[in-house]
Amino acid sequence: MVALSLGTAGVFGVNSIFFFISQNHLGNIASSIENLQALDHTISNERNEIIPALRQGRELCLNSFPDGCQPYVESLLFLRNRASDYSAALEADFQATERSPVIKELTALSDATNQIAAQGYGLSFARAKSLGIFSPEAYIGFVKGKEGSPRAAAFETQSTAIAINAAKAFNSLGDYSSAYAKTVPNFQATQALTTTLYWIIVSAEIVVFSLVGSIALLNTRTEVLSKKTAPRADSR
Amino acid sequence: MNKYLLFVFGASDRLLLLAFSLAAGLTSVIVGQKVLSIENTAITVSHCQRLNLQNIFFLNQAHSGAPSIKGNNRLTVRLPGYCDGLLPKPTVGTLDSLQADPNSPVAGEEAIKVYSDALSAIEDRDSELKRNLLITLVAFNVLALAIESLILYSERKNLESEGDG
Repeated sequence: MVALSLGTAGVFGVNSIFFFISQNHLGNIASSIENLQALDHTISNERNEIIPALRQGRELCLNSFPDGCQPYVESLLFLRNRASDYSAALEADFQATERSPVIKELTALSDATNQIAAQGYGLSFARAKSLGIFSPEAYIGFVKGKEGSPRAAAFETQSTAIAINAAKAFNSLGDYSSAYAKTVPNFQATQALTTTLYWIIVSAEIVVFSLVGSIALLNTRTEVLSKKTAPRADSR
Repeated sequence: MNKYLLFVFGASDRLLLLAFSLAAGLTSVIVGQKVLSIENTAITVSHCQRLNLQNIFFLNQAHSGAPSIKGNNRLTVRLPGYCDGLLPKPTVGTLDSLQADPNSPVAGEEAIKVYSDALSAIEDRDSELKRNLLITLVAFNVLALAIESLILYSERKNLESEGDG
């Protein structure tokens, strides 16, 4: 009985470790699913917002260059910031690296926004940042004041492909998300494994407790019986 | 007083006391395991709540965003099957009917409200149950220890009486 209780305690101990690991694994899978859903939602919303905004902004900008370019600069800055946000998120939570095609595509997109700014308005966003220009209003105000800088022809050429490239980048992001989703282990299977381990732990603990309790009861009973029989032996 | 205690805790009564102590201990073990089970479910409940929260943000963005996604609130608000598995059957029925109704312009909003309420109700219920179970666990632990102390007292008295004899 003692050997059995020690054996069951061993089963309990080993299963407790597996249960702990499985529970943590379940939490990690949950986080991955949440991150994936957040990424999908963001891609879905932003793809539908940014691409029409870039196209409409470009038209406005070309019709009244550079005074009507503020909405376009806003969209361009938004795209630039989002490209770098997506890169950071993919590297932090989705196991992407600098060498991943999707990261390269996002970096190229970010560089393209800078090139439009540099060649179309004569001031790259990187340079504007170093000059302390952070808002689209301040940016347009600065390039307008800079004589001979805004070049409508250069802007028209450079800005043609950005909406298409942005759409391609969003598609790549969607593809990457779908591919990553396939690598995430099944939540329900892990949940079922955790539940099984839980029931093994419960059973083992109850068995150990019952065995130890039985040993204690048997020992006490033997002790009680021996005390009851001892005086009779003396009387003989 | 001592005489009374000795009468109550005679040698055979010690066996009974030990049985009571073990029963109280076993109850503590079972209650503890139930608390662990609730904690295990809590991982899934929290996960489903976070997914639903993301859907709320998504719908809010969709309503304030581009015309192409405005009103497109029926696509992703349904949570995975294991989340539905936590909910009572009538709630799942409500969600099914909301999803099936093509005329409802606010089906997505309704669905996330239903999820939010149902998951909060589960969380509240489990939290209250866990609180009660923890109090029960402490009570049975103390009871087991109290009975154990009586057994020890009885053993000491036995040893003293054997020594006197």
